[in-house]
Amino acid sequence: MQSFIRICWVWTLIVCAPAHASVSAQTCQAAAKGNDHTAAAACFEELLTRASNRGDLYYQLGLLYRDMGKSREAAARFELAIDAGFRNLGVRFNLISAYFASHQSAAGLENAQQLISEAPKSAEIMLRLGRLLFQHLYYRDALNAFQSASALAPDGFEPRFYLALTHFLLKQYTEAIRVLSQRHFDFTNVEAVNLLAASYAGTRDFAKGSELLQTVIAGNPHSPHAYLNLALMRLEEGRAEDARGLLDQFRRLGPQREAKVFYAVERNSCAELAAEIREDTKVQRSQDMANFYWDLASQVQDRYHFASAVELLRLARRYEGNSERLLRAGGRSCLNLAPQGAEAMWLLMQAAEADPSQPEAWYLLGRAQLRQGDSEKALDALHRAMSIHATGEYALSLGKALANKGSGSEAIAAFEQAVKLAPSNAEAQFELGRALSQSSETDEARLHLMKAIELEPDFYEAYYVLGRICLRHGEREQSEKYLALFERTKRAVMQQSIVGAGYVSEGRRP
Amino acid sequence: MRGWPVLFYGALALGAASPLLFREWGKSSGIDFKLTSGTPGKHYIIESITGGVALFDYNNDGLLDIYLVNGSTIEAERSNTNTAEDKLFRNNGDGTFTDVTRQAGLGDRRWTMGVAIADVNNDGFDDIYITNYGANRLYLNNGDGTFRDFTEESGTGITGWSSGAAFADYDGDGNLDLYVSQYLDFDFQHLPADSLICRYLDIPVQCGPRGLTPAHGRLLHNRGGGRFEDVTVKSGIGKAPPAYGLGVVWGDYDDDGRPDLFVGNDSLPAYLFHNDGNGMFTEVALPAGVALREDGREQADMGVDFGDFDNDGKLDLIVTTFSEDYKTLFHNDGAGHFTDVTRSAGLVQPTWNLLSWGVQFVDLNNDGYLDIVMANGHVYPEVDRHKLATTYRQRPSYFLNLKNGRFKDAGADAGPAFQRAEAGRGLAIGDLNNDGAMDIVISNLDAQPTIIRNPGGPGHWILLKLTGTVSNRDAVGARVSVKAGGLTQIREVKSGGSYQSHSDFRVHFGLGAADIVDELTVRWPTGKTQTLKHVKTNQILKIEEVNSASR
Repeated sequence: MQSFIRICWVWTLIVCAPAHASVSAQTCQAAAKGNDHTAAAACFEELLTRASNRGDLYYQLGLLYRDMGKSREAAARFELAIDAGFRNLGVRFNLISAYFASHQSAAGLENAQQLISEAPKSAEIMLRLGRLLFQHLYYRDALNAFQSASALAPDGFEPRFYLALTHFLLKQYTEAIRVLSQRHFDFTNVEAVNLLAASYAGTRDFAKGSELLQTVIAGNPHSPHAYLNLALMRLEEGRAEDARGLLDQFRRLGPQREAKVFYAVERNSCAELAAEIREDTKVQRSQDMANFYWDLASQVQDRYHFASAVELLRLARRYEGNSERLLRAGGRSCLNLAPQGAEAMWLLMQAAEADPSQPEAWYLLGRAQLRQGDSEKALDALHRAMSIHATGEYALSLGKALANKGSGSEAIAAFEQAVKLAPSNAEAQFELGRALSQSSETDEARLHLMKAIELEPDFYEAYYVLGRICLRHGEREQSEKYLALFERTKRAVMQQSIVGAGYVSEGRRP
Repeated sequence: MRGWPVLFYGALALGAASPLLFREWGKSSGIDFKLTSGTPGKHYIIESITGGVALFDYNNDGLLDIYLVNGSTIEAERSNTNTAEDKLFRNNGDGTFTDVTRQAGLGDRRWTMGVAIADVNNDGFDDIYITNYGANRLYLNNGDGTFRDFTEESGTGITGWSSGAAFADYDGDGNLDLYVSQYLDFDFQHLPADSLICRYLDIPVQCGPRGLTPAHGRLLHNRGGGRFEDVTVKSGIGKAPPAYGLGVVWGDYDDDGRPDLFVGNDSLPAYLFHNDGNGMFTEVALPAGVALREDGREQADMGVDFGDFDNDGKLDLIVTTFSEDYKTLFHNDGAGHFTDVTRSAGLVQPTWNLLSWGVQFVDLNNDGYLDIVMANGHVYPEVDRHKLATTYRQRPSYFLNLKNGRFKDAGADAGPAFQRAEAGRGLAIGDLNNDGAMDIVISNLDAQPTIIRNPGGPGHWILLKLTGTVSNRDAVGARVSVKAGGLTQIREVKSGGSYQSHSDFRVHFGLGAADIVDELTVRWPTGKTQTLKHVKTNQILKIEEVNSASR
C-alpha cells in the first residue's frame, strides 16, 4: 500500500503539476490585471515554489516586480527565466534593463555587450538597447547598438537620430554630420536640424550652423530649439547682444521646458564673469529678466553644461547685479569647469560674504578648498555650513577634510553624523566604512561598506575596501570574491562616458 | 637599560634643535649642465618624462660621481641632429666636479630617460645602464676611468620607450639581473593629435598617456659576464598586461630572502611582482594592497621607493603621483599586506597639489628615522596661465619623520635649496662629501640640476660600503640591520629606484644620540649573515662578504 501511494504521488506531480500551475497562473495573471501587483507577485512566488522550471512564469513575475519598481527582484526573476530556458530577446532586454535600474551596471553592460555582439535581427530591440545604454552614459556601446539598429532599419529616423546624437555627445562631430546628412534624411524635423547645426558648430563651422538654424527659425518661428541653440553658439562666438536678441524671442514663446539644447558652450568665461562682478559693471534692474536667465542657467547647469551656464549667468547679472545666488551659481559652475581655478574660489568666497547665513555657499567653498588640497580652510568653511544647517552631504565633506588632515577619529565622528543625517547616502556609508577599516573597528566597517553596496551596487570602491579587510583577517576566499567584484564593477563603471567637466568628469559621483 | 634614557633625552634634544638649512652646491661646483627635453611648451608627452640621475663611484676613489641623463627635441630626433648628451661629472673631493664625459667615452645622444648602475660582470667596477627612447645602452666600465659600449654583446639594447631600470639578483646566482620599465608606443612621425585625451581641467595640453598604447616591461636575466637573456615571458612577468611603466624598485617586502619587484604605472594600477623563488614571479599588487590607493582608485605613479619608515623591520613603500592626488605611503603590515596610511601620516594635504617624480626614503637629520624627499614639477606649462592651485615649477619636498607615524612638511624651513622651484624629475641621494649627511641631487627639465648639500644634523651616523664576494659584487639585495640606541633599523642595498635614477650604493643609518652601534648584521643575497658588534659610529665602514668559497 505504501508503495502504491508513492507511485501515485509521483504520477500526480508529473501529470498534474502543469495543469495545476496553469490554473494558478491564470489566477496570478488575473490579480496582476486587477492592478494588485503585490498579491499577484505573492501568487507567482507561491506558484513557482511548485513549478520552478517555468521560465515564462518567472518572466511574468519579473515584469511585475519591474512595474512595482523592485528592479533587483525583477533582475533576479529574469535571470531565473533565462536559466529555465526562456531566453528570447524580450527577456534578455528586460534583464539588462533591470540590471541597470538596480545599479548593477557590470552585469547590465556585460549582457548588453553580449547581446550586441550576437547581432540580433531586431532593429527595435537594438534601438531600445541603445537608448538604455545611452541613458546610463555608455555612449560607446550605445553607438554600437544604434549602428546595428540603423543598419537593420536604414530608413528609420530614430535609430539614425540617436546614432548622430551619440556621435555628437562623443564629440565626433564629423561623424554626426555624416549620419545626419545621409539620404532620406528628414530636414523638416526641427530637432534633427538643430542637432546638425550644433554638430557644425562643434567643428567650429559656426557659419553653416547659424545658416541652418536661421532657416529653421524662418520656417518654424514658434519652435523653441533653434533660438536657444543659436543663442548659445552666439555666446560661444562672444556675440552676447545677438544672443540676447535670440533669447528674448525665445522668452516671448512662453515657458519652454521641452526645448532641446544640443549646443554646449566650450569657452570658459569664468574670468570674465569674475571681472564683471569685481568691476560691478552697469546693471539694468529687471527681476523678470534676471529670473528668466537665471532659470535657463540653472537648467543647463543641471545638465552639466557649466560653460553655457556661466554665459547665461553673465546675462542674468546684467539685470540682477552681484546677488548671492548669482555668485554661488557662478562659483558652482566654475568649480565644475576648473576645480583648481582661482575664479571658482573667489566667486564662492564672495557668495559666502554676501550672505553668510547661506550654508550652501560655505559648503561649496569648503569643497573647492578641499579640492585644492587646503584641508584647514575647507574645515573652516564646512564647519560654517554645518553650524547653519547640518546635512548629510555637508557632514560627509567635513569628514573628508578631517580625514585628509589626518584627524582619523574626528573624521569618523563626522562620517557617523553624515550617515545619521542621510542613511541612504551610499558615499557616506562608504566613507564611514573606509575610515573605520583603518581603525580596529573592522566589523562595523564591513556593515557600512555592505550598506553602501546595498544602496549602490556599482560602488566598486566598497568592494575593494571589503576585500582588503577580509585579507587582513585571513579570509582569503571571501577577499578574492570581493576583489573580483571590485574589478568587474569598476571595469563597467569606467566604460561610462564622461559628462561635463570638473568633478563630474571624474566619475559618477559629482 | 642604559641605552634607552640616553636615546630619550637625546631625541628630545634633537627634536628641539634648529631645522637643518640646506644649501645648493651651485655653479661653483663646476657642474654646468642643462637638461634638454623638447621645447619649453612641452607639447608632446615625450618632452616631459626624461630626467634620471645617478650617484655612484665610477673610479673607486671613494667619492660619489654624478651621471646626468640628457634628452633631445622632436626636431633633432627627426633630423638625427641631437647635440644634447648625457654627462658624467667626477667628484674632485673638494666640493667641485669635473666633466669627464669625453675622456670616459660616454655621452649618449639618444633621448635618454633614466639610468641605473650595477657591476654587471662583477669585476669591481660599476657599469652604467641608460634607458632611452630608442635602443638602451650598457656601458661597461673598463676600470681605467673609461667605458665601452657593451650593449650588443650584453643583449640589453631594448628598443621602444624605456623609462625606469633597476638591477637585482633575483635568482641568487651572484649576477645582477635587470628589469626595465617601458612607457608607451610613441612615433615621432605620427605624433598624437589633439583629441579628448589632450585636456587637463578643460585646458588643451599634451596628449597621453591615456589613449596611447601602453607597453610591456622587460626582465633580463644575467647569465654571467654581463650577458643577458630576456626572460620576461619565462619568468611570468610578461603575464601582466602592458602598462605605462615608470618608476621601478626591487625590495624584499616579505623578508623571504628574495628580492621582489615593484613597478609604478602611470594612470594604471601598479604592479608588485612577488619573487616565487624558482625563477618565476607572480603579480600580487591588488591583494597586497599596493596596486591602488586606499579607496580603490588607480594613481599616476611616477617614482617609487622601499624603506622602513617606522622601524618595525618591514619595508614600506612610497609612490609619487600626479597633482590633485596624494603621494601614497603604504605601510607594510606583514604577511604580504600593505595599508595606505597616507592620511594618518599627514601626507595628503602637503602633497595634494604637487606633481612628484623622484622620491627617496632617507634620514636627512640622522635621527634614526627615515624622512622622505621628493622632486616636483608639473608636466603642463599651461597650468601657470590658468591661476590654478598647482604650478609648473615646484619646490622639492622634505617630509620630516615625526617618529609617531606622521610626517611634517619641513621644506619651507629647510633653507634655500628647498625653495628653488623647477620642473624637477629624477632624484638621487648620496653622501657626496662623505660627512655622514646624505645629500640630494635633482635633475630639472630645461634647467641646471639642484645639488643639495646637507649640513648634517646633530645625530650620529654610519655609512656602510658592502662588497660581495660570492654574492653580486655590489651586494645589491643585501639587507643590513643595525641596533643602536634602542632602535633597530633596516636598509637594503638597491640599484635603481626613485624616478629613473640611482642612489648611493652605500647604506646610510642615522643613529641619533647613540654613539655606538650595538649590533650590525648583514644578510647577504646568498642568505648568509655576518654580524659585527660594538661598532664605532660616524664612520664609513667597508664590509666584505666573508665566505670560504670566494669567487
